[in-house]
Amino acid sequence: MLSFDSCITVDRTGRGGGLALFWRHSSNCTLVDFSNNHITVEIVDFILGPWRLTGYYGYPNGGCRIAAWNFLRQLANHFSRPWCIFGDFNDILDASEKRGRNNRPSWLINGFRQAVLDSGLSDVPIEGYPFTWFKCLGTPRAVEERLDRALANNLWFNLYPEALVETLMAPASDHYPILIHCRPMPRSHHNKRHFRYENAWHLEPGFKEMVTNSWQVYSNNAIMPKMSSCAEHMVVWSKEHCHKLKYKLKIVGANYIPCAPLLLGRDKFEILS
Amino acid sequence: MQRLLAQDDAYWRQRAKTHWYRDGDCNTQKFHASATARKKVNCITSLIDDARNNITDEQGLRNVAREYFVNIFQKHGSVSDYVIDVINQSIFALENERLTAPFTKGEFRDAIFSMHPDKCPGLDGFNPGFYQHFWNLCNDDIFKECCAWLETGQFPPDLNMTNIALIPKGNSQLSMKDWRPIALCNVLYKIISKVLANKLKGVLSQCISDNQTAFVPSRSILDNAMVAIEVIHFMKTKTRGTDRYVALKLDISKAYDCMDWDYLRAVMVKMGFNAKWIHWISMCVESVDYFVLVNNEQVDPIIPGRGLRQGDPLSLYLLIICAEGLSSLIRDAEARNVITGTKVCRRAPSISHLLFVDDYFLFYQG
Repeated sequence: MLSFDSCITVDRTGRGGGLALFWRHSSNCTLVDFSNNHITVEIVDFILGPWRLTGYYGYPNGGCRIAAWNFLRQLANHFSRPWCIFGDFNDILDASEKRGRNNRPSWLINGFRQAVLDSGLSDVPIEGYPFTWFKCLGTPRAVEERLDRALANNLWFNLYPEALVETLMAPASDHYPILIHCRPMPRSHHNKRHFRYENAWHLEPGFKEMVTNSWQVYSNNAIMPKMSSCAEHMVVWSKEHCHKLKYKLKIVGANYIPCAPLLLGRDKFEILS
Repeated sequence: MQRLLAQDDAYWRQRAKTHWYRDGDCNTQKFHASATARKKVNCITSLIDDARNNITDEQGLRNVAREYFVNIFQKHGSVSDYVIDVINQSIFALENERLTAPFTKGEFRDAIFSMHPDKCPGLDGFNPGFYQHFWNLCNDDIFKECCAWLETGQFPPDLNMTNIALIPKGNSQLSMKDWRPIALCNVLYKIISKVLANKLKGVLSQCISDNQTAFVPSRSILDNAMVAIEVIHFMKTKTRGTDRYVALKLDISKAYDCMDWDYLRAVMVKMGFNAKWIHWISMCVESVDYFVLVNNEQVDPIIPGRGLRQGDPLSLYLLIICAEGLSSLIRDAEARNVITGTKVCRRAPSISHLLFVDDYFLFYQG
């Protein structure tokens, strides 16, 4: 069974729905509750104690949104302990979580938000690609949304303050799988940054002059100290000029020009050669 | 807009490290995907140490990695004179003169521009791209200083500090053995090393026996593969006669990491390299300080007593020079009729061994 030890399934109704939850013995799971839209298990962590995990599937059709929100509130009422719920909510929390076609009506977004707030839940931060579902990619009607997410209450965040959700890749589905890291590896590069020369700097106007200047300022030094002095200059310079690349791109790229890559190919050639 | 896109492209290109991607392709999801995938695969989450404990915390991981490399790079005295004795002199005054001829700027230029600009930088953070972009600015300094270092026979102490990055080997990584150490030298050092390597390449075909075909200019590694297939085929189809043949395939574990420096020097002396050249090589090989990188964190320095670096342009050639020892031993044994090589037919040359860098194929009559 896919290298898992146990499994619970809920059969589908008609052509939609159907749930399955797999687990290994090592995670100490026991089944608590299930319905057409959710499966809840209790997990006992050796150190941190028990908490509940719900796999959730939101009603897909638009007519049932209010029912879905009430269902979420109902679920939340049952749990006064650490609780995490994850799955396909078929709802988004913010307009930025949808890209392409029309914006989602704000009453839908607000309704879901209210339900999440009422349930005492908050979003587990996401890492990786920000959307988890797509349709018609590569056409003008392309649409991407972040339908899958994990939410958790404060008690759960107390157990796993570092938790985050990662978007994975899957070739065979229009959803990307999500992976919840309860205890992610600490990011080590935060405490100390080493100097790294970026080839991208070379394209920024003024960089060449800056390096030439600082090279000449230290022209009497031996080469190794000279290079480390230059490195310091470059770090200062790059903080002023280059660190907002993503942000700048977003502003300028608001009206994306489809022919840009073609032109890019040519002047890149000049850069490299 | 154009510029920003090009910058974004260069940024991700440096990270993606798919060097086979040439100019034609654009900044696609492929770049991002390969950068992210690389980051994930290269992350060490747990290791099994010598006492079979599973270590998962950061500090523990660093200790395990350090212990492991201290062990590997420790010197084990093992100069074996009978190996040295059988090596023939193959480098004479003419070659020595060529090797130690004054350097030219062109040699340095070639060395720099033959490196890929996106390759990883060493400890000082400058990648080959920097030297290529600013060749006009810094060529005088580099040339002058490098020549001065070689002339005085001494490197500045921090030139040869080397990071060791760990790259996964095989499918699952359980212990330190499953990580391949790649040395990230300072590019400035690599330039010198490459210049020396390019000089060495020129005389290689004289001091390396024909049995070794890898890395020697004007030989192809495929030649040996063909010969090996031919010999095996002969052994398989042989039905008549009372003579029996044996084929042995040897693989040297940690060939680079365990190379003994005294042995290397002794081999070079015996081959006839002059003192100046040998000193240059020793200087390059022996002035190393290692810093192992575990999840991007540096572990305390390790001062090694042996080993060549995978990532230093010289290492390839030094390794096959060292492999000459075994080759000479076998040739000597053959000359004394202790072992007999294989002949695929009566007039064919006798073949006793084939070398593919650190993989050896031995054939003899049993």
